[in-house]
Amino acid sequence: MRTLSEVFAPGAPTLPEGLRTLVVSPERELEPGMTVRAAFTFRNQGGAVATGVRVRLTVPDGLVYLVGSGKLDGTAIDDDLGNSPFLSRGGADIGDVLAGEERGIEIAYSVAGAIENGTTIELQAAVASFELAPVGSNVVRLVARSRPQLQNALTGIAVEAKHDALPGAQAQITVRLHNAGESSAHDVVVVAPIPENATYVAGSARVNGREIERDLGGISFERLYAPIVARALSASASATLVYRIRIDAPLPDGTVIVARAQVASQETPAFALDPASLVVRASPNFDDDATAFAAEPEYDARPGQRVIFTLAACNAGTAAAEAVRATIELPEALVLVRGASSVDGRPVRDRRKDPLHFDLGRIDAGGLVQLRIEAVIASPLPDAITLLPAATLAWEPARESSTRRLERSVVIRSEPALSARRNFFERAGAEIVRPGGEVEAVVALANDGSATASDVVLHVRVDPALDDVRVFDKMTRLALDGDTVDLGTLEAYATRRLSVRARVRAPYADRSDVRVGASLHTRELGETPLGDAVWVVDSHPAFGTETSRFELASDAILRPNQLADVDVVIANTGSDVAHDVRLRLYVSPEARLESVDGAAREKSSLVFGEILPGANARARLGLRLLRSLAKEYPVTLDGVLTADAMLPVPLARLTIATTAEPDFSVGTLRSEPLDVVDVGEAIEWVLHVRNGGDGPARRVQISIAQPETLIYVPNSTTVNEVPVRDIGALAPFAVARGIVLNDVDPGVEAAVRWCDVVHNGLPAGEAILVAAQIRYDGERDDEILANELKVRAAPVFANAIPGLPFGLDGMVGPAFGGGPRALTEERFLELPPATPIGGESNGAGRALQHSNYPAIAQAPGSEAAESDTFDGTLLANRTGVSVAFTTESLRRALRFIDEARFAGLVTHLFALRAFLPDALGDAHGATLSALRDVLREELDRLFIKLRLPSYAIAARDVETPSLRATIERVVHGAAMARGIPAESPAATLTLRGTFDPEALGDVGDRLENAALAGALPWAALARLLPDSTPELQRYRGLLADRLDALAELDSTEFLNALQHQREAALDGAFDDVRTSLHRLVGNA
Amino acid sequence: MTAAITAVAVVIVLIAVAIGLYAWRARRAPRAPAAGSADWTNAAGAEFAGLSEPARCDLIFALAALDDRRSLRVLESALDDPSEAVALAAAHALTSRGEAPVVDRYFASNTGDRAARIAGTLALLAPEPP
Repeated sequence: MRTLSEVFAPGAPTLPEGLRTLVVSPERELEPGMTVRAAFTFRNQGGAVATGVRVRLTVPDGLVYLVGSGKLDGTAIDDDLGNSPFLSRGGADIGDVLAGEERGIEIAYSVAGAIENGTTIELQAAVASFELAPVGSNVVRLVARSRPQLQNALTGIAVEAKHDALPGAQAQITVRLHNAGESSAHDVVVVAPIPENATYVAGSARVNGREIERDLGGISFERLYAPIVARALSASASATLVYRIRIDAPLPDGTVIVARAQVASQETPAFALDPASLVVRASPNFDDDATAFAAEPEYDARPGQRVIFTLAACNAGTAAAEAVRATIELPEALVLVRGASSVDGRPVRDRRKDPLHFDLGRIDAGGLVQLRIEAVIASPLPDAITLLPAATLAWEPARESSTRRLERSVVIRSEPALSARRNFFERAGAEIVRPGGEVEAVVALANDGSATASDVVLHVRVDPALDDVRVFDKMTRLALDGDTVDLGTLEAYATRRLSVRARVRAPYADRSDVRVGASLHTRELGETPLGDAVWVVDSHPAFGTETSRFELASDAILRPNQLADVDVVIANTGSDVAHDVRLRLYVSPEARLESVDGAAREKSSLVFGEILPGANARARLGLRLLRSLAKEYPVTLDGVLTADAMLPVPLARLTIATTAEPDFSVGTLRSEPLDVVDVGEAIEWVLHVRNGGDGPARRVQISIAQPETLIYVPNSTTVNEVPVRDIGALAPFAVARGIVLNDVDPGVEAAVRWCDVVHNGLPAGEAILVAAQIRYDGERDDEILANELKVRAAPVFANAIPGLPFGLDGMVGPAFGGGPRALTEERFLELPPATPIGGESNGAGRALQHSNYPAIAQAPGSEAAESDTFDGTLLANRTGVSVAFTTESLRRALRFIDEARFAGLVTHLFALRAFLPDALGDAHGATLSALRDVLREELDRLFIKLRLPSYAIAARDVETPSLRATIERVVHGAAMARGIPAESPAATLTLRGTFDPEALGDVGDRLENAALAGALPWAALARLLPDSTPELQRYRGLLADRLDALAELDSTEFLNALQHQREAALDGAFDDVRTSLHRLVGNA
Repeated sequence: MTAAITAVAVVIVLIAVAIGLYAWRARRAPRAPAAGSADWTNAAGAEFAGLSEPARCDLIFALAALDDRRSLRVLESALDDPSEAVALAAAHALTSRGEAPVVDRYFASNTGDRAARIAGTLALLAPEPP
């Protein structure tokens, strides 16, 4: 079995014609561009729904789908990328087709613009569904009608020359054939005779570029009449016949070549094409290369040179040229040489007027005449200039092209010339120069060549000894860039004279040569040396007292034994090197030269060696002032500078200020004992004084006042251990004059010693103060204090003195003159130097709450329960129903409805399936069994589909025509039924109920006109549910009311209610039923 | 010495028992459920390739009414559909056609939660025995 995808595959046989409902317009024949419309209808003749129906149509070659023309049941179908779904490989999915339903599709095609006459086109449609293999429609066959058209604007003949239409030239004839019709033209023939005054070029005939003579049996094209050039020329196709002809020569000017042709085919009678023509031209001609104008030499011609011009006039045309004339045009730089002109080697007469016009006479076709003239190149001329002489030929017959102008170029080679004789560089002025003096040289330039010298640059090689180099052109100073001067151009035969000036550097070495050279650089000639100019330098060294001198490094006044730094600066202010430079020093006796830094020392002379011109020599001298210097005597320093070849130069004297003074401010006055002394005890004093200054003291007075607390020991005074007599009863230092010391040199010490005794009457604790006064040189007065001595005294009562054989009222006093001396024998004390001081629960929860109704009215143990039969009350005019369960079947039913809990009212359809009666009235009808089976089949499928995520309930899921028919039969049967069902012997539980058959009959009547997939059938079935328990009764009532209310809705709204609507009371009632039944099953 | 030999023998026996248990369990290990594919629709026709789940259910229910070998093979293939509902539809269709043995063989060779759920639901939908 083939699938729909395979039925219209290329090469597949056509489908058997199962449906003869394909209608095509037109029915028999079609023409290019025509619209073909196809309509295909089909009806579901069966009793079941055809699901997943697909329809497909063929698209035969030659037909093109008209976009947007596909329709399903009169409604346009969206195309997919410009193609109709009906023409797709899998066909168009049109959904389900109900039993008895008729569907139809329409589509339109367009016939292709070019289609062969007689072409057969077949059209067929096919339909398939999930349940059905593809069924084909009747095959419609259409025949195409079309014809070719050769006579149109694109069919024609043309002739054209390859270059010019000249005698002997070739021309090409093109016959273009175009089929503007809708079908092919067969056996296309062309009659194309060779035109007069022309011959066929053998083997040149081509059709679409392909040689045809071989296909025509090897016979030459010119000998064939009406050859077939194309076996078949398709619609809109073209063919081109091309062949070449050669124009006869000679021919008169203006001869016309006419090309003619006729075309025909099997379908087209012969017709003539509009002729094409070509006009032949013949004339004299001097345009080829044989006619030329030459010059010798043509390149590198130099001014003054002779140039030969030759004009060759050759008639390459097809006619003779009459009265040929030649006119020569020479530029000003070319001067004609008179008498040198000739024609064909024979001199021509010299004409005073128009010497450059020449009459050459008649020149036959193919004839040649030569004209020769000479000219001289004038001077000067720029280099590389091109001279453009020209020659003009004129002839008759006069036409637009009866003259020819020939030009020739002569390239001139011209250059400047710089002869050494007239181009030089020489010194101006004396040969001897001094440093700082100015030198001058002259540059002479002369261009003797025939061309201008360009980019002229003067190079000046300047000696390093020269500064301030300048170049002048007369009085104008020229810019000197480095060592070059840009002079621009130097015209031919022009001269220039420049002067170069410079200054000799100072200083500069004596007898040195100073050299300046020059060269000239031009673009044409390159470097041209001009020579050198030389001077000799006369130079000497020089020293001056202003620049050569002594300098004191510091302004401080020099003190004895100190060093004074003196800088010696020697400067050569001359222009030459000073050799063996020496400085002889003369230092005053108070000072001594201790060090020299920066020069060699030879005794009292400093040696500096060579000092370059302008250079300095510097040395530092260390002078120490001697200690014996008298106060305020300055130190002087003199020097005489000598060098080779130079007169001695005395330098300015340097005077160094000095100072020196004594100092006795530092000294000691000590006692023994040092701090405490007993009354009556002897004290030995020693005064140490020292000239701590740097100058001698002429006179030093030492005075010491004698305190009353002490008693001087006579003649105890010594100076430096030399006893000194007292003056009267006083010590020598105690008188007004005191002890006088003379000429105390710096560093000399004096030690004055004497002895006192402490007065016995002093009280204890008395302080003893002694001070020494030092006055020296009449200006200074220093004081030296001794430590403070405290007097110690104690009471004493005994008078027994050891060593005395008697008592003595008195005290044992000190022993003078025989006891050991307290002070040591050191003569000198070291003193410091005298230097300056630095969830919620839903309705389901209600289930057993309602079991306030007893879950089953007949509770277990009751009579009814014992029999497991629950009777409804059979009222008058009511019919009984029953549904019998075994324990197992009831358990399965409960499991099913537990599983079939979905959102929306659809849950209750499954309740109807579960509790559908199996007996109605007293008759056990077969319709109920059929309904149970159909209902099970449909709702089981729905049950499965609802397990798909987000499944949307479709109409066919709820009700099919077969289900509707079965329900109708059951309802009608129920309306007729009476009585109550008999008990089932196998049942362990029977649910019973009653219904009003009349009311059910009314519902059944309405059911006949109700649309499929509505609520009414289910409302009818709800009335058949058992109601033998309160839970069942309440549930049935609520369900029937709800479905009755929904019966007025159309199928879409009902489906929406099934899918989404919930009703709590109804769901609660259903839960009560389930709960009661579960309890019953549990008890069982 | 005797105690050591006894211990070695006990160890060998335990190892042998462990290997035997492993081999027994490996032989009885349930087959993993087949990796489902919806390509079975190609067998019904190239135009049915790529159908949605509801359309596949419709196709199955349409084929359920046919009585030919080809549709049987298609339904059998649909048991492996990745959608459990589609596979349930196929099982239901086969059972309705009287091909319950085919479904049983499928459940025998395809154990696991998925097959168990399909089998349970299928039993719920089975008609009452007469």
